Amino acid sequence: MATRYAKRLQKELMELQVSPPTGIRVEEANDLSRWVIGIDGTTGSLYQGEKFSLQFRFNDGYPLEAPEVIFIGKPPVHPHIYGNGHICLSILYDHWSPALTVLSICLSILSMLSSCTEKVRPVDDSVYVSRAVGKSPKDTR
Amino acid sequence: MSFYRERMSSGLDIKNEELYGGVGDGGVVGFHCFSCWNITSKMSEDEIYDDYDVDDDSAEESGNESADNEEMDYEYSTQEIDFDDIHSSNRSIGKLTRQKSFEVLDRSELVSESRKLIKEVMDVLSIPSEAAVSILLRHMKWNKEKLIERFMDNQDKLCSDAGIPNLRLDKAVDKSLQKFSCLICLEDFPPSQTFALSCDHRYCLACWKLYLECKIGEGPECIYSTCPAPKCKVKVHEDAFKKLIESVAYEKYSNFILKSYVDDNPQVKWCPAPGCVYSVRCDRKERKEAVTCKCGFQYCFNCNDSEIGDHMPCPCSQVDKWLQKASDESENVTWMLANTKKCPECRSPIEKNGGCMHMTCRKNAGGCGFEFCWLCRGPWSDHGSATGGYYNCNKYDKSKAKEDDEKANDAKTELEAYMFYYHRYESHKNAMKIADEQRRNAHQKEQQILSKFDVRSADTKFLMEATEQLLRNRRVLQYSYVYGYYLDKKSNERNLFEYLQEDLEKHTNQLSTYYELSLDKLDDYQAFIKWKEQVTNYTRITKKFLDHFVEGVAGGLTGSHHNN
Repeated sequence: MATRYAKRLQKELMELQVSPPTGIRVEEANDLSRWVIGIDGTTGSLYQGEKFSLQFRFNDGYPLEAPEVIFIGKPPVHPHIYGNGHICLSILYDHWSPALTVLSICLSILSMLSSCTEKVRPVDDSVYVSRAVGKSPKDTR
Repeated sequence: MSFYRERMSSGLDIKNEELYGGVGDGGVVGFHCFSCWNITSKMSEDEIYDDYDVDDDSAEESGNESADNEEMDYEYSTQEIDFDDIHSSNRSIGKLTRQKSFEVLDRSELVSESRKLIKEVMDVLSIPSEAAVSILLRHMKWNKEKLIERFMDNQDKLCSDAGIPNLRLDKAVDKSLQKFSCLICLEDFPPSQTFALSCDHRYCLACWKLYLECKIGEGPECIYSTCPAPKCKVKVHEDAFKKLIESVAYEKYSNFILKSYVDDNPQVKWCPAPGCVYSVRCDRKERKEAVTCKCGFQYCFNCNDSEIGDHMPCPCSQVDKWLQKASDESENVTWMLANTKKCPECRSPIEKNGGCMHMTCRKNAGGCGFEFCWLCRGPWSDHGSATGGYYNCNKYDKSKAKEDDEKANDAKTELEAYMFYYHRYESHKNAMKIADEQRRNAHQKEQQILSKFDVRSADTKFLMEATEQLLRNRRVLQYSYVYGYYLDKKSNERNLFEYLQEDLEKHTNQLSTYYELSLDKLDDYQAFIKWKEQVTNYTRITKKFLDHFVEGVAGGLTGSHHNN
């Protein structure tokens, strides 16, 4: 990433590595354009004790464009998270703002998990998953 | 409608005396008698379309008076015609006719129009900021009245809905601020290199620039861009765009604003012709006559469709109904019409390659030489006065259709009637396409004439005029069959309508025949001159018939419309 915003990513990464908030840690960031962030289900929520991994992909448009964010490994069972790890969260798509950061995305996802009252997949999960094979969630909306 | 009758009677006289005697045998015809036809040609446009104005005047008066007063065109229509007819009392001499026509606008005119509107609102609402009013107007779809009403009603709500909670659009830098860290690039800047809207979400100028240019790249919606802060609904105003981005990108942005001005404004529409950059303003909601764009395209402002174009004499609703019906039934009808044109004599398949309905089964292509009418497939000798017949091909003869099959039920008759009209509609549509092609090739033909007969280039002008006339005639004829289909089958109107349609169709076909004459048939200069006169005369004749037809139909045919 040789864009003017590579510096911003470096800074964000450093912040997260130096002083990560509770339940959020950088698992992998050898390539600046692909990070894996681990998050822990918050205490008191349905996901307490579970661990998940988020994959962030940044293209040259970041932060004017949202990063592509999906769960890898075993995604949480949640009405807004598809079986293939795609996340239905408006700030990742239409309501993205360049002033949002990796940290703010992680916090939003954690808060989304915490507010869940029933562990179910989205109703159209199987349809969506078969339609979205090999596609970025940004292209399937 | 008074002058319609007047013309009808004079028209009949001329026909008997001159038209049939002179033109039919193809000689040089004296058209001196046509001077009396000037009754129509001297009429100014507003008189012809006067009937249209009647309904709409009231609507206009309640409309944008303040906006349009200085543009209003008052015309005293001077009556040049001496009507003895009692109906002439309907049109009083020197009557004040309010003529508001259409206007073709180019980019700069659109800019000044939208600026004018913004200025008006600024004055009325005492808002000093042009950029703020621009946002408000866009929020209200450029509807000035509605904006003023909403503003008076609840200023704060309107402004916050529109995305300018504070009419002071920008937030000045806090003097105490020493160093500022941009939340987008996470770098530090002196406060002078930052910018914030009224919401005080401050970012560096470079990030603003990239953000806004990125928005512009996303398309027309960029004019509703908000502050980059998450969930902030404050709109980025025009001056901010101007200040923050490059002029090339700003140009793009202003074009999107103009686009919204046109798209949101029911009185202004882009010309539908492919690739045309002009737009047309028309204040009259139900304008019936076509508008003509600067690109040359003539079309109905309401339909605003490059395919439909001008559909005189049909009203829009009829065209809608017809096209709907055509798409519903087209498979049926096209199947029945496809490949069914065989020579009525020898059954050889015939392909129609000219615009004229006069078909000849060519002997040199293995045919029998029989001449027939494409529409009714009857012998052509029945169609022209020169050969002792009369032209009758535009009327649907219901009794004859019944004779053919006495047991035919109503549904079938209806389908037959529909096919009759659909076929003629399509035939004229195709003939128009051919005429359009001929128009494109006219230049070539002109060159051939220039080299063959050694004439001046002014002597070939008639060709272009003839093609233009043919195009107009075919277009009107095409839609006249839509009108005819929906016209009450037994009314008096119908007789008159078909009478006028017949005149137009007959002479248009004759013009086509003359026009399409192969240059090889013209042996010398004399023959050329004769041919030229034939074409010129028929161009003029069909123009008269076209005018009569359109005005006749527009005027309500029997006059009942006007007298009501």
